[in-house]
Amino acid sequence: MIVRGYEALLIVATLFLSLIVASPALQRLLVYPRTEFFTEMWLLGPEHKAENFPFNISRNDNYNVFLGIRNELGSCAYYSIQVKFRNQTQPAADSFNWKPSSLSPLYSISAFVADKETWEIPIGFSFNYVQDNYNETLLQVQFLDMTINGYVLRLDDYAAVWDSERSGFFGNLFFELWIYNGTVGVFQYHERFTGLWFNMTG
Amino acid sequence: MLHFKEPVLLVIILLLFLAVFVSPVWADQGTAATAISSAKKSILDCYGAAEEAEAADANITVLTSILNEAGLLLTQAELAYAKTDFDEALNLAVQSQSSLSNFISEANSLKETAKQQKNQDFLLNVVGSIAGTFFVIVAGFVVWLYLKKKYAIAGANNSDCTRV
Repeated sequence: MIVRGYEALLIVATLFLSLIVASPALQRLLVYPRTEFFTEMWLLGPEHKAENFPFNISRNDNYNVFLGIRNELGSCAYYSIQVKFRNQTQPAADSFNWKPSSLSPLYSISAFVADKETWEIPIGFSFNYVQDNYNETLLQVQFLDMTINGYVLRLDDYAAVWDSERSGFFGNLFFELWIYNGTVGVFQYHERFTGLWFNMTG
Repeated sequence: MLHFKEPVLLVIILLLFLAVFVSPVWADQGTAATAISSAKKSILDCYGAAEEAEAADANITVLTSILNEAGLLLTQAELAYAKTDFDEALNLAVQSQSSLSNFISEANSLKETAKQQKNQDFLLNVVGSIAGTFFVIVAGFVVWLYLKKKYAIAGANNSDCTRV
């Protein structure tokens, strides 16, 4: 079969035009399907960067961080962020066994995030505590309350003892992510948490 | 006789005191608790409506911001309830619920619009695109037939000229 010059030009032009016209339909077929569904959770410092996180805490001083979530689950999600506080001996969330901390939340923040969207809030907090002394030696820090985004939360049963290795009175403020499971109608631990350690300096 | 009457009188006074001063507090607590659970249920219903709208490819950013606002008010209501400030808890729970008053109709309207948009999009991008491709191929074929005929006539004329 002999293909003449005009025929070759016609075939190329027809194919080219066909591809252009078919591209909206092909676009739907050739989209790579999403295979990973997850939620991101993060804490940022006061300048909205991953730096200058508060560490040395003074009584009743205000500190600011940003807490964020990105939903990549494929549909909108109803999250509950449980705010918890602990000292060095109290149980933390377990990263290896994917278990939440057994401590009761001080406060819960609800967040509704559409698919592929980001949700972020500023978290302002301060701690009120007293230092227990014995013969001019600091023994422990007894927490009284903490204020988070304007809400005063009692911390009556919380105390931090002196850590001689790291030289400080340490407390850990952490945020556990829970997600609403519509099938069973309850919030379930979403296996994510983030938090900050503080040294109660004075 | 007087000794018998005194305790009865005291009990009656105590009951009256409880009825007048204490029971409204309990009633408020109950009302606040009911309002909080009602607000929670509304939030869940609205969340369901938002999920359905999103499944129909609607942009639900507006809906999630309304839900976040209602959720914040509910959290505040729960905190007030925990502090036994039942009036504030009731007030905030009612506010939370009323912020969702038109939510479901809005979500349904977004869902319908998204469905229409999806159908339109399908018609234009898939059906239109496939039909357009067929048209281009058929047009190419027709042009080819025309050119073939034209060149065949031209070829015949050329050979006639050569013969002459």
